[in-house]
Amino acid sequence: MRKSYKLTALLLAVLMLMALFMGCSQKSAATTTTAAAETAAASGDTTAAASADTTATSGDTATAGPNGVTINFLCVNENYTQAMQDCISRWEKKTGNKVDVQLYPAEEFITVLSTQMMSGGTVDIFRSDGTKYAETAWPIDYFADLSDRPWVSRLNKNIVPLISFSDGTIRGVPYMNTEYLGFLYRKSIFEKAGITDLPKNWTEFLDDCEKIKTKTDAIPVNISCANGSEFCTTHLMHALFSNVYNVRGVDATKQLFKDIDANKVKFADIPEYKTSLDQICELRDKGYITTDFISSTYDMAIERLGTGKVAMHPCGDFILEPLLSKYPDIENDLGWFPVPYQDTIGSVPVCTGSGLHVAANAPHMDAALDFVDYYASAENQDIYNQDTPGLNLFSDVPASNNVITANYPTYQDICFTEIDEAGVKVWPEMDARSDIQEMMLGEIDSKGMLDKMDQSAAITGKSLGLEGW
Amino acid sequence: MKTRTLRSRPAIRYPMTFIIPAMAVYMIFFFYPTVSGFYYALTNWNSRSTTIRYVGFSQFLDVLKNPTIELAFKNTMIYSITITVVKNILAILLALALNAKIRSRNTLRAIYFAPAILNIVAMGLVFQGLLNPDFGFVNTALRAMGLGFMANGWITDPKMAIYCTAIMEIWRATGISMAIYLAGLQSIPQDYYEAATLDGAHGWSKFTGITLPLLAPAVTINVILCLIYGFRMFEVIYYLTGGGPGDSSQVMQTLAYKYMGQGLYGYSATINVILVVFILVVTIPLLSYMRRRDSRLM
Repeated sequence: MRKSYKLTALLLAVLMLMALFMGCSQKSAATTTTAAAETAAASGDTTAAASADTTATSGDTATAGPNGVTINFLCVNENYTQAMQDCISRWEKKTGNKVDVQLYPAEEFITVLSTQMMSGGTVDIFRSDGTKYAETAWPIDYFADLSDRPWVSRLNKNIVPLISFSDGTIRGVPYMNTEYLGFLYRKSIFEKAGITDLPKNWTEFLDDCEKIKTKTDAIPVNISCANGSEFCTTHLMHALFSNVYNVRGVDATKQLFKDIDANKVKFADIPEYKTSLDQICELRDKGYITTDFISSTYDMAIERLGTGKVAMHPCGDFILEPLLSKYPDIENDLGWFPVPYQDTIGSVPVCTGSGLHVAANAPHMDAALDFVDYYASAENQDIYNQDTPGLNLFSDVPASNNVITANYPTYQDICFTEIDEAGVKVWPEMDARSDIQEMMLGEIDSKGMLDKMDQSAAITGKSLGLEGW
Repeated sequence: MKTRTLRSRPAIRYPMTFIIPAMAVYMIFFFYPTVSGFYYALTNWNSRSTTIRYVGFSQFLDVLKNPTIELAFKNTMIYSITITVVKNILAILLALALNAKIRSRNTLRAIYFAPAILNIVAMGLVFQGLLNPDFGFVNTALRAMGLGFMANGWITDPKMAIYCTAIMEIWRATGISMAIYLAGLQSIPQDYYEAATLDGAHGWSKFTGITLPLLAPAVTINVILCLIYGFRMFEVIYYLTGGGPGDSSQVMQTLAYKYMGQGLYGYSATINVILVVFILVVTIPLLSYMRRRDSRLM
């Protein structure tokens, strides 16, 4: 009896140990929804990156054909567009390889990628927030140098400076539209309000908001500040902040960003930034924004713009795919204009859009490079451009415009801004999103928000060991 | 002389066979990461650099000077003390009620304990829906009943957000404290109550003279566990408010997570070490005091 008891106990202990280590094994293909994804779904942010975490494949289980390999692609949910999914499917059919896509929440992506890169040889390709400024998030050693790939010579000349790293190399290629931030608006609501010309300065813009408020049922401007959707409002902030280029000039602004990184200039000392935030606060104070902004999500913004509950929404190209897929009939009713600043028509910040990169220590380097080469090929770009018009990367692929980029040439000579502040190493983007919630709630004013950004910059600057901090 | 045989040798080898794997797992997954955390708290480890530089205790000073840390610390204290006090009061009342001989007490015990086994993420979603100021159930019901003046911002109100997270935790975990108090109540011999009844004691006297003193160990366990759990809470706040709106409901753990997400791993580790030290400084003396008090009462 004693012996059988001991044997049973020993067997149970072994089974428990096996179960423990089986849980740590890699899955070859899986679809899992974590808590964060459930949070995203229930809060309405079905496309928001901040709370989504799924491991997805391009369709069937990520198992390569008999001679194929499975490459690993790390992405965030909001950047895993339908166009990219289709591109992956095409490459898989062509090569017999497979892409195992792993999606993570935006606020965890830096850590997840860093962990995987440091542990070595588990990432083949990954995305970044901005092709050029990915090196501010990770060391340059993480990125494979793509400068000698065959497609580089086909890039449009104006794209090359927008995606080159600080050492002059090309280590990524945009796969989402270069974002032109401004106001997307409903033409029918503007007509109903009697607005015949688009505003050319902030005063005219406020007058138009008043007309919309008094003559229509729509709310003039949508503001979305719910957790995970604050980026909608920071896009408005970035659109206004970019006027620093128009005010100071490109060279002076580049120097300003270097001075910020060197702790020679504080955000609170930049009058253009304070004026920008004051303009946003003025919209709130005059009652021109949605009142439930603190619980308003990105999906709600799409619904409100699509159904005409709001007249304008500050955004870039990224909104077009989800908006028009839900409300295709409004495509001809959409217009776009830059966010006016003071007595000017405003500036148009150009973000390079999410980038596709190959990991320097990719375990399947050849296949990873082949995927990026395929993505950049004329054959794929021709189809890709139709799926996501406005992304005009290559000189040999016919350009196509979307609702926003079709308007852009009107403003190109007036207010084009080449680089955005994402290149500033101490830029507190994630902190700015929570700070803007506080500002919109009236807990802090514009100066308070800039002070908080300075505090966040100090923490980053000191942690990174930057000179001057 | 007695000859030692295999059978008479102390049976140490057999228990060690079971302890060693558990110890190995403990060392690998708990001890080593904990010690590493203390080390990395003294470095500037971040995602943007391939080298890790030792910075010493200056990083601790930087963290303590961070204005958001003060707010996070205050929120941590508010959250922890609120849930400890409210959970324990409610749990004692529930335990007393469910220790009585009522017909459905087993079913009721299960009902009150059930929230403790639910997924916190799912509960976060439910409470987000309940407490949404515009379309949430709570405000909608209040307005429908003509009590619209009581409708609040709840999780979108910077002054109320941290209390909303405490409400969710109280709803979720009171059942666990109730179970511990129930076990304590059931271990009190009935003879004491009978003797008190014979001496003419009424309900309140029995409660204060017999029940509470003999429940002292259960109170100690519950208070210490609630405090520690409250100090290191992350999931409830993260999944209900995300630390927002703004930073109004940030606690130490969510703040550490925020900086970790920004790639400032050393800074994040420093916040965690400060929290660990704080928990030790508060709970060890408190535990010692409460145990001495338990001995006096019993």
